[in-house]
Amino acid sequence: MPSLLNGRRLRLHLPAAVLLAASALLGGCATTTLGPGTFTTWQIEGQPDESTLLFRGIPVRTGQIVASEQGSPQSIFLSLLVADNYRFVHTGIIAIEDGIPVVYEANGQIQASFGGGPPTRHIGGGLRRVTLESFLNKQRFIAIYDPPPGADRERIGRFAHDSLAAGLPFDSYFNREDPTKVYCSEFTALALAAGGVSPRQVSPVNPNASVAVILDWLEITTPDIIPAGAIIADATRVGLFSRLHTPAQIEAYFDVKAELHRRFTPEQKLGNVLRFSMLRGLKFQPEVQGFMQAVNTAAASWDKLPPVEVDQRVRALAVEQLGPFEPARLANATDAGQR
Amino acid sequence: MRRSLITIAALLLASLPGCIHLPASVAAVVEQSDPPRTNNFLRDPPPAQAAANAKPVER
Repeated sequence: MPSLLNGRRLRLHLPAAVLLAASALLGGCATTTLGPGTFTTWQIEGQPDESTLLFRGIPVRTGQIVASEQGSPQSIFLSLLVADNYRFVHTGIIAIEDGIPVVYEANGQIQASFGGGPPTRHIGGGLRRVTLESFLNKQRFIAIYDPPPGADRERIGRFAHDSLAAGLPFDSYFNREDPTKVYCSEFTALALAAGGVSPRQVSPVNPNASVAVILDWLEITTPDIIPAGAIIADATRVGLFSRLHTPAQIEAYFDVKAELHRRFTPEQKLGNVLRFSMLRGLKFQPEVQGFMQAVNTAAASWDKLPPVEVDQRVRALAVEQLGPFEPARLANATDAGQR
Repeated sequence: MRRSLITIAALLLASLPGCIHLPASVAAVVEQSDPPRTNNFLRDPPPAQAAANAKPVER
């Protein structure tokens, strides 16, 4: 890539988010006792039956889908790469093995390298298995879903088990045409397909100009991605969990994410949302960080509000913190300015 | 003393594996933000402040 010759040397930067997203998912949280006593949100909606294992009150079974979101700059970055907004950025498959619920997930990891080139060339990792307990402790927002009706749960679990045994590597290029390497939602989609349900709904990559620059540098040529959120489109939620956030704060966070996505129109720079520091790596721009914090603080008292009102309040705070946003008016103003 | 520590830290960081080069084209879209009015994530400055910003700096 000739453009690399003009490059600047950085320790951490935005494209590394592709790597860091995976490490962010690994988290650094200490393991705590799971349950409503230690989690702010421990909302169980599923009903146990003969095929479930009650894990700390959660009716879990092989073939369920786990979806998560960290709310980090890395996860917002990954979210903005896709044209459509979805609540979650990560998914995996639950299986019960030897009486213990585990999560199979595709996970990318940065590899030590002295070579040049974009970070996608230096991402390793692949399918791995962690305990559900560990997964719940390390993620910020987690939901568990039953797969769509008709799914063969045992086949889903077997596919996950066999894929791990086969050493399925991580696909840092998000190429869903090549099933010999997988990214997280691609793996989940393949597992569900093995169980007879095909949620292979895709979303095109974001037409944003700065996203195109990033993807070009990362050598990612795929026209579309299987978004994590699409995996659960036809699934039934079994539970919602968060150590630190109330249900209203979770809802408000997803509305924040939707608002950021709405404002990230094709001409907007990624640098308007995220910023870099040589030492600190990827961060939110201060205004965006302030907006997110203002929403989270306010939402602590929104637990009795219906979702529609939570969304309206988030939009009102967005106007207050980030300024008014009317896409049509802005587009006209831009056109007029160019004439 | 502090400067020495920063220098040592910078050298250590620079020697870490995984260092990569950020092309100028990439840096342009991820290291810089747009000014108000063209930035959907930045409030317009209050009119008084905008007028002050627009004034040429007196020397």
